[in-house]
Amino acid sequence: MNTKPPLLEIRGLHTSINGKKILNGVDLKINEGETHAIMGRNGSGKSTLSKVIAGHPAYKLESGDICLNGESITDLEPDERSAKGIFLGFQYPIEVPGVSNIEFLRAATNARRSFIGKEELDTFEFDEFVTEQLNLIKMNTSFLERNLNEGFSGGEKKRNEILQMALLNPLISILDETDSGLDIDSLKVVSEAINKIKSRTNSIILITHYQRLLDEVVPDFVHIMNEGKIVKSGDKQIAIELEKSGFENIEMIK
Amino acid sequence: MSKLLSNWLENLPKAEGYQKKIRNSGYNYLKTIGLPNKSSEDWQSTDIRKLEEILSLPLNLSFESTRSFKMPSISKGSYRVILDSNIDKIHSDDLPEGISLLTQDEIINFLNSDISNQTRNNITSAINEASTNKIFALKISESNSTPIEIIIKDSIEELTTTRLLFIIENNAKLDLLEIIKSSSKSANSHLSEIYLSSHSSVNHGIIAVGSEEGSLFSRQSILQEPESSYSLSYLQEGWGISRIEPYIVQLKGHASTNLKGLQVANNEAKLSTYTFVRFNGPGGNLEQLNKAIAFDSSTSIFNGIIEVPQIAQQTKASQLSKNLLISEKAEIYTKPELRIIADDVKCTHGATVSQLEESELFYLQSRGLSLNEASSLIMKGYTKEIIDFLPVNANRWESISKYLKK
Amino acid sequence: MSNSSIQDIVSTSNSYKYGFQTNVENEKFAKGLNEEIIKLMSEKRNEPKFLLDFRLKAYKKWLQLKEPEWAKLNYPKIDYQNIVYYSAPKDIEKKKSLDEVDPEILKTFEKLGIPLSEQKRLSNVAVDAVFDSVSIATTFQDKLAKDGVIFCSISEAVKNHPDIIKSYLGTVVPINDNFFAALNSAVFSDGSFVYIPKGVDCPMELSSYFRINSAESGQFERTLIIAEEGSSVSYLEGCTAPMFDTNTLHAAVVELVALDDSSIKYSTVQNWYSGDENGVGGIYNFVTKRGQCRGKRSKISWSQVETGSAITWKYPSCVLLGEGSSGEFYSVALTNNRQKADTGTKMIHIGANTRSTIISKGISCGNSSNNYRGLVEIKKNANSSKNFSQCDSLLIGDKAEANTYPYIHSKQPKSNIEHEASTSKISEEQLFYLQSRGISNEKAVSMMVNGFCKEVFNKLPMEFASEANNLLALKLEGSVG
Repeated sequence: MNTKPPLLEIRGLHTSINGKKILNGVDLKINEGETHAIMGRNGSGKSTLSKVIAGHPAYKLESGDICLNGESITDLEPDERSAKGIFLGFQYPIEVPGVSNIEFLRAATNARRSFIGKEELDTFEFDEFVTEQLNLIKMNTSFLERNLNEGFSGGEKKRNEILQMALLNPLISILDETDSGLDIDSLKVVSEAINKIKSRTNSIILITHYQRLLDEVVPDFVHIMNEGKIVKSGDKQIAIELEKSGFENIEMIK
Repeated sequence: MSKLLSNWLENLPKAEGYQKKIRNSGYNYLKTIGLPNKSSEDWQSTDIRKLEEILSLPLNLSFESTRSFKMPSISKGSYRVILDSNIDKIHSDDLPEGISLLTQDEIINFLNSDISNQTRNNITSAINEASTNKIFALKISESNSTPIEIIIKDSIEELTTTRLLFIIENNAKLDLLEIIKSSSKSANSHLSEIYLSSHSSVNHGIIAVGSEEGSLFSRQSILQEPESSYSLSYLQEGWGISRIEPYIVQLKGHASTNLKGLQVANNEAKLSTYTFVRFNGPGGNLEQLNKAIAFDSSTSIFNGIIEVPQIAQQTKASQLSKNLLISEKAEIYTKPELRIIADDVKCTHGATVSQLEESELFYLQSRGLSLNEASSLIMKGYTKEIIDFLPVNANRWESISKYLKK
Repeated sequence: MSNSSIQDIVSTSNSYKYGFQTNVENEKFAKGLNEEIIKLMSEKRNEPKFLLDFRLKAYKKWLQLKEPEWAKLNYPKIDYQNIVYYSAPKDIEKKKSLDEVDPEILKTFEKLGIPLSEQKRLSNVAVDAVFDSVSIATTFQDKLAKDGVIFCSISEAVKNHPDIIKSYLGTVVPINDNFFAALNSAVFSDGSFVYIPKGVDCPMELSSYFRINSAESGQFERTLIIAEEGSSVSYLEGCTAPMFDTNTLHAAVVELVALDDSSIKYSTVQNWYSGDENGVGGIYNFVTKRGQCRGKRSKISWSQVETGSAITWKYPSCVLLGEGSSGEFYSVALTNNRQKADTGTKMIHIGANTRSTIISKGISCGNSSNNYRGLVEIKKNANSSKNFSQCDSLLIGDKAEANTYPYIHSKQPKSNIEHEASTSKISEEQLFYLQSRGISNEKAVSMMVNGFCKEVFNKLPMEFASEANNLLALKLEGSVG
């Protein structure tokens, strides 16, 4: 008799931005410990889905629901969702001038810690903690003293996202095209880090165009999105087929 | 009120009926507000005595230039109007397709509208309005494809006042080039008012080249409905004293405005540009670049105001004032101003004052050019950015073609 | 000032922290201003004749000057005959020992985070505490004297160093400079005096803490800082006032003189009471601050964080006379509710090879209006000079106003001026990014505002940087959402 709800459940999700419909009924269930991949061509709604889960204010929820551990989160602010354990790795991490990376990382870490009842870290404790995690993404401490993403290379930005993922220890991480713009070495660092953070109690959604990330972080399930809907779901075999035949033949795969 | 001004007002030519109606607002403004003083910010850098000198000149009542000047032949398909007494003889039938004369009623209705009144209440318009009996007023409709060229001349020892009104109808397009020339000790007051209906566009060029003893006080009152696009480029060169004052109101926002100015100050000239752009609605755009070069003992003034009230969310405006100070005796004043209440806007402005880039000069000299050649080449590059923006017909005029020569 | 004490006082409540009034017995003159009052005031302080003459001359000039209106600040007319021009805690004689100072006043400064008593003193900052325009105590005077540094109240300096005062007072800001400077010159009460002798780097931070306590008195401090050849000093000033529903006039004058190869760094954290959300009460802060770089390669740097006052009207300026001298102005001005700030600087390049830098960050919230007004002037002989200005405005809420009025005037072809300005709002994408990492809306905005001001905060002395940070967070509360 297992009545435990899925970690994340999306039901009949319809959303719009400036009156334009983007998602047309997305359904998705993710259990603890699972890795899902969402693929689809540009404009299919993948990124929108990730932003809507994280609570981007520009998108309007028309109907449907998003539940974390059985509780709806659609009324929550982005920071409240983060505190509850939702993490969005941005496709284009935002540059915030003048705000130091380490100051930001500490504020974010403590927000999450205080929600899960852990003690907040003071500057010294945090220094120690973050230095440990830096090894994960193979960066040195000078990385922390810079302004948040300002002037970071594409690879540095993505590594900074993964560092945040490690620090926040989220229940569910949605990684939006984390592989785009990465060279081979960075891709390796990033995917190794993701594999280390992955556990039996957290889950990951990978949004990607390419198979290459999925070779490193192997998904349990693959979903294909088209025109704001999940049109096909299956195992990693779908992704391999897709790589061969391209998105034009989604219908055929169907 | 100063004695000079009251005398001037008293001695204005008599006006009745229609003429009185179009002159009233200017007359009343001068009567109640009077001439600017030292503390009027827009006139701080202008010698007010110059303004008084101009008012002491007799009005050019015959509306006839005492001098002719060389004009290039008119380009094919263009329509040229010389603003002299002959404009009375123009009939709508003579005009190219899509262009017609506004009737007296249409003119009065427009000038009395709240829209038009937004551009009043300033000294430059008032002097012009109070003293000009004739308005050359055209309606441009969608079927127009003819560029218009307007020629404004001066008259020795007289004040020539000229006034234009253009109503651009929905979806209409117009290429308008104004040539203002003075070749003697004289003064010109010129007012152009352009109303752009929705989805219309105007490409407006002004070539204002005057003699060392010439004075010019000109204002461009531009009213833009949403989805209209207005582009103004101007060259101001020569003169003893000259003011160009583009005053632009985006009536409900959502319009685009592009201003490109070049002022080349020589000798003792005092050249100035005062621009004002107000966004009375959201979603408007402005791009502005004003360049100035000051030689000899000249003074170059730029003052650009951008006003973004609360209603004008999502306005995007950028303004840049670039100045080259060439001579030890010349002076540059520049004052870009932002006045902003709306919060969802992106506005930037910038200003630089510098000399010719030494590294550029050195580079050219090291390739065998003399210092003079190198300087003039770099200056040509500097002016090109503006000159290129003028309507094509401008290139036929020597004042412009000399900038384009190799 | 120690970080913790400042943090304690600024971060525990969201209303104006310094709004209390201290009960002390004051000696006051009757309201109004005339020659007799000035004579009486001067006599009361045993001032030398040159100072009385200076005051009377200034008073005559003041009568001829008009209150400036060009900033269009629209405040109700000030009745200058309804102001008390002399108010001092009774028994004005400065005490030899702090034990003799009215304990209420000592308590006040302690509450403000400026403990003056021997045991509690801040270890690395010498403080001149000014209470209603009268210097109450100056700490570490003896220690400073060992290096020849004079740090005392202006009134003490008039007594003990009249020659220096006589030769410098009014030479940077002449008595007829402007309406408020003339008024100050006629009636100034007290303020700080700093003299750094040749070749001395002042061994401690010097600081003045200005406290307005009385409701009806105008506040007219005078500060004079002189840096002799090759010397350097860093000076900071802090300001607070009780909450009154009437407006109090504060018209201070600050004069700085930098001789060859010297440098003066002057920092301000201004948090006068700004009135309530409806604009009732608050300080009118009409201040003239000017520095003269007289010497070759001398340097004057102004940093300011302006968060208080109902109206601020202030342009700390640099007159760059000496060849190779340089001026800097770093400013953060935050306005909220009905506050009005018109602030900026003047950089007057007179000598050759002079440099100036202006960085101004304005944040407007609520119904406030925040103007940058600055003049950069390059005179004929200032060849090879350079100015760089950057003025950024951040708007929070759609009723706040941000205006930028840069005046640029050059007569020197071999010099360069560069001005940049931008106005924008808090970026929604940045806000979402921070929020998606668990940082609350209010905290995220405050982080971004601090980031916006970082270039300026970096210029503040360490002790003030975190105070400034907290002050902004405090002032922003309730303006977001």
